[in-house]
Amino acid sequence: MSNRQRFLALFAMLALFAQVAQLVLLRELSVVFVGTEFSLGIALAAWCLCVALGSWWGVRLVRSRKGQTPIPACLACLVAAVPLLSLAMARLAATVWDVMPGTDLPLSALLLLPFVVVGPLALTVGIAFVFGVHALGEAAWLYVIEACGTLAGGILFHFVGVEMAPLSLLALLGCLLLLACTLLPFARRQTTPSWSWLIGNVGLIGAILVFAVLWWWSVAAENWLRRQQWHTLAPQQEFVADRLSRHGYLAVLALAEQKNFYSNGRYFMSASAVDETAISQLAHLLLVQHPQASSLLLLGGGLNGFVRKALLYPLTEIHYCELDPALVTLAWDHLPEQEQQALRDKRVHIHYQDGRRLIEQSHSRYDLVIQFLPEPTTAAVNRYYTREYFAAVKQSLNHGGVLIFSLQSLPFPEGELLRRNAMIWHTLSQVFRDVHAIPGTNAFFLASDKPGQMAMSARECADRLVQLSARDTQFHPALYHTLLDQEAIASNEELLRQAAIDEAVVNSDLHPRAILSSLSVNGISPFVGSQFADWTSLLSGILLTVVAAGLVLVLAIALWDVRKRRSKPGMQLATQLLIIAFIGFAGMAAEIVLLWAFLCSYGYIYAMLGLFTALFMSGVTGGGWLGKKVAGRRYALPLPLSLLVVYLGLLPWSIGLLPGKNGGLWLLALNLLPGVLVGAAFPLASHDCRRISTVSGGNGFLYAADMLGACLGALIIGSFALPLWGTWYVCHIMAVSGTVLLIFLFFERLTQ
Amino acid sequence: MAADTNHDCHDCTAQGGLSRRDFLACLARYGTAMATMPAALCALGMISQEACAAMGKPKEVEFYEKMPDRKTKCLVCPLECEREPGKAGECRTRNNKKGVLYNHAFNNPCILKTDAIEKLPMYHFLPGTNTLSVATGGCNLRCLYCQNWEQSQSPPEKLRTFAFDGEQAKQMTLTKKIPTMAYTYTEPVVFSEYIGELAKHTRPAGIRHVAASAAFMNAKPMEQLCKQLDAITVTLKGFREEFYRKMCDRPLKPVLDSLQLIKKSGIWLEIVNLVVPTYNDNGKDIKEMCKWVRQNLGDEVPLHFARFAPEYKLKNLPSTPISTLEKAQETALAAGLKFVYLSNVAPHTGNNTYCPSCKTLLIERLAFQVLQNRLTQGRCPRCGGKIPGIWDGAKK
Repeated sequence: MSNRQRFLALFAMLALFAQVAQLVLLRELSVVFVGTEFSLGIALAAWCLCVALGSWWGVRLVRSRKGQTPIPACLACLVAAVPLLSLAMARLAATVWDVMPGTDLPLSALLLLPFVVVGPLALTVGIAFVFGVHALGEAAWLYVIEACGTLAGGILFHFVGVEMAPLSLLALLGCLLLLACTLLPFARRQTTPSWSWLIGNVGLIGAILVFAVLWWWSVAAENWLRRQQWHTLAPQQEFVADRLSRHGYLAVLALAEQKNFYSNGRYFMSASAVDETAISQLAHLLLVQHPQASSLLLLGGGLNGFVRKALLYPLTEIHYCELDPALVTLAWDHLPEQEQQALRDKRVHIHYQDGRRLIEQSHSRYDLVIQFLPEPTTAAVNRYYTREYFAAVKQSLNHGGVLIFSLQSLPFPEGELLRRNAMIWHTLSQVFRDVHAIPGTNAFFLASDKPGQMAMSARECADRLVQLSARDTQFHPALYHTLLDQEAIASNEELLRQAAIDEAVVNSDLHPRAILSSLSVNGISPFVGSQFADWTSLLSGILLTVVAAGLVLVLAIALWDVRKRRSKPGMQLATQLLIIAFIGFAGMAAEIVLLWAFLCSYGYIYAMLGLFTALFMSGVTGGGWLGKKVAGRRYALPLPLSLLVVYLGLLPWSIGLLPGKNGGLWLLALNLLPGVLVGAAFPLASHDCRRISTVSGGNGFLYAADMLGACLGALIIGSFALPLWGTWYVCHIMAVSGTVLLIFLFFERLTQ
Repeated sequence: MAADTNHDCHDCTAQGGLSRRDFLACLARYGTAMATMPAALCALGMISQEACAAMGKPKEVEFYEKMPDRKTKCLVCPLECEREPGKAGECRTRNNKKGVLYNHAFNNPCILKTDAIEKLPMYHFLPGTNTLSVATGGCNLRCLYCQNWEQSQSPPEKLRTFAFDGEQAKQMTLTKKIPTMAYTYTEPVVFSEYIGELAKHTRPAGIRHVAASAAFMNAKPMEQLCKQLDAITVTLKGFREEFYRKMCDRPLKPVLDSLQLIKKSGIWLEIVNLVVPTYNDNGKDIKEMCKWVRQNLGDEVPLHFARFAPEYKLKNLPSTPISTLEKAQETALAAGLKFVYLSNVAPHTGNNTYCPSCKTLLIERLAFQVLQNRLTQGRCPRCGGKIPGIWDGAKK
């Protein structure tokens, strides 16, 4: 094995480790961001920015060493150690920021933390890449190897790492990374051993041992870290158990007789052997909404006693669907005996799959579909409140079937809360003929195609309870008078109807408008009540204005240059930078659009992140190779840009063509192409830069522009543009912008 | 109907695109960020027309000081906000307009609704009767678990409001035969001028007035408010200074002073304590609170322990375990308080009223409903013991 091969092997391992570490840290951040996809956009932006900074710093370091070979083993140690510290930082963030129990991190922390957590690793990876190029003397192979390592990391994480304890995974891979360092010439025996050789090798062996010990103790360390985290978040509650799954992080805590369940750091339900009051009221209010239901589909919420109450009714089938099997497995040991018995009943069928896919793909028909799902603050949950979903539910209901779900509300909804609820009401009204809402701090939305099917008065409910022979000592029919306040129902429905007419906004899969509204009424604490949706709306107005003005300016400059028939080198470099920044932006945006599309189809994304990123990177490598082949031709650079414009224009249609069962593969395939185009553009622009002899340092600027574009793409598209503008507008705005840049580029070429 | 009216928009949104309407709305919001004129806000639909109209007719605040440079110092609550012209106080309802302090929460409630009086909660005042609940926007506290935060944390001009004056209140209560008006949902302290106006018109017609308040108010305005009320439920949110500071961003002492003042005023007083897990659910604090209530307000003041539910900015805390509430009830009874209730839990025996002497069930409740009331002229039918409260006119 030659030194060069050893070096490449080390870099492959380093890329693999970095990919896995990035994914682990993204999951930790998603817990901090209580499961919202904001963390994804901000963390990817932080990653791109810090890799760029690391590369810049790496160049300076290499130059300062005046051509001496840097120490890759030291860098590998750094790469291996940094994610462990970042992981601890993410877990202890609440302690560091002194967060009040029950609330979330302050806004400053939410904006800073992604940079603190993924930044150091990205910075180190950036430096390592520059050192690698310097040591190897060329970048092309290193790109290929890095992409292969990233791909392997993504696959490894997808199939093995996703359910492993993060600390164990990182310690084990860190250990392997350091072992890979022993392949290097530095670690091997020299002809004349020196002190630095000795110290270096002893240090390396020491580091390997430290990581091995850490791996050995990782389970205990993992538990300690988790306990510390929960001690800050819920100091009075006792940490009982937790579990990692491909859908996120689940934890159970105990408070007196209650077991409280948290998903991705957010409290979502309690189970108690003695608390019958809330569940009795809920069950007997909802289960009488169909006069003679025989089949019930329950999406979520089957572990808190609802199934037990449903068994009191003459239902022949109760289908309980839970996306994450880990939730049921984890909860089972902490459920009261009576709940376990209810779930074992022969009428109860548990489905471990995405509820939406069950409804869309199953041929079963139901009388009642009741969903207990979180608020639509994420794309994963929003897909249960869209027109497409409601239409699918309608198809799965028998004649006179009823759909019921709840949303955060207030006795008197106002502002963004009213706007959001009216949006859902309006969307529901688009599909069902009869829609009602029962107000409260949690409003229930009821829909059926058969008018008069739902019982909206206390008397009717009480009559149905008797008719259905549902006897429950824990429930008094007189409670219906409290639960169904006629005056409140009438005024609330009028309010929703009027607001729905005023706004006339529909929540759809490709335009998930409810997400931003929901974040400002029920999202992360700093956003709640902050008119967050108004601010993002304002921001989007400014952004649209800036983009439009920028495009007009670009066209004006191009026309001016054509008229003058001259083009200065500075302007030519600026053109290259603009094109590369745009391609970086559009590439990242396309990847995020595809991630969201996957999320909308399958209801989860975290486990797939590795594959998406790895395929994109593979595309970048392949594109780089292609780019080198065609570099130097006059119209080579406009080619990837033109293809990207066409791709973006067609992307929404392509997503719309998702094949049912193999939709995921289709999206993964679609993800490869922007990678290829982004990868091809770089060597082409780089070649053009070298032609412009009067400007030095062009490649560095190009790399910075690429990373900056990608960073902005992740931040803008991932954080707010997609829910605010929708997939169609995002893709088409980018396609139009790309077309304008193409015209600009064409005019620039004419003047050269 | 809505579907037909908005057909064009749906075609567009069916493809997931941004509609023309959205785009215009976006531009409008951008424009309104710079708009300062209430008229412009009204024209753009940011505030209701009624609110616009009411904004032109605010009521001058009774308790304030005029200061140099047309500044004002509000004396209604312990915050005593000093404001320059054009600025509103912490409560968001009292604004300095050219050196005169006005209350903008006047004749423009955002909530107007008939409720059971038990909902306040108020169990010893005309049980089983209805009340006309009135609330305006604004609050002088910043509770992290507020249940009506959309109203309480917004100024009146940003809410949908109704034009509703004293005469209309009189007409409505008499027509609907509602014996009381309740100032609840948001903080009555921030619209005390409006309460005065409503009381002035409806008291002569025999309508009684009750309030649910945090009682974060200065002494003189509180005395004035007590004159307009017949009963009040005060939310004593906790019994530690640190808790009040953290949870409500306000001090505790003024609330305790107000409670003593209310007791002296002679109006009917009940206390509610929301038991928030982690924050105010430890036995020691509850014991101290009960001891203070007994010593300073008497053992006949009803105390309600209410169950917390995750709301507003405290989404990550679970609901209070029932056993915690039951322990709190035991502690309060052991401290010598005679009437201790549990709220937001039903069915539960903690909802009922029992005779403190012979333990006979006097009023059976289910959530906010009175299932049966066995009191005879305010006395226990078994031992004849007098039960404190206002019972005349109550439903049997």
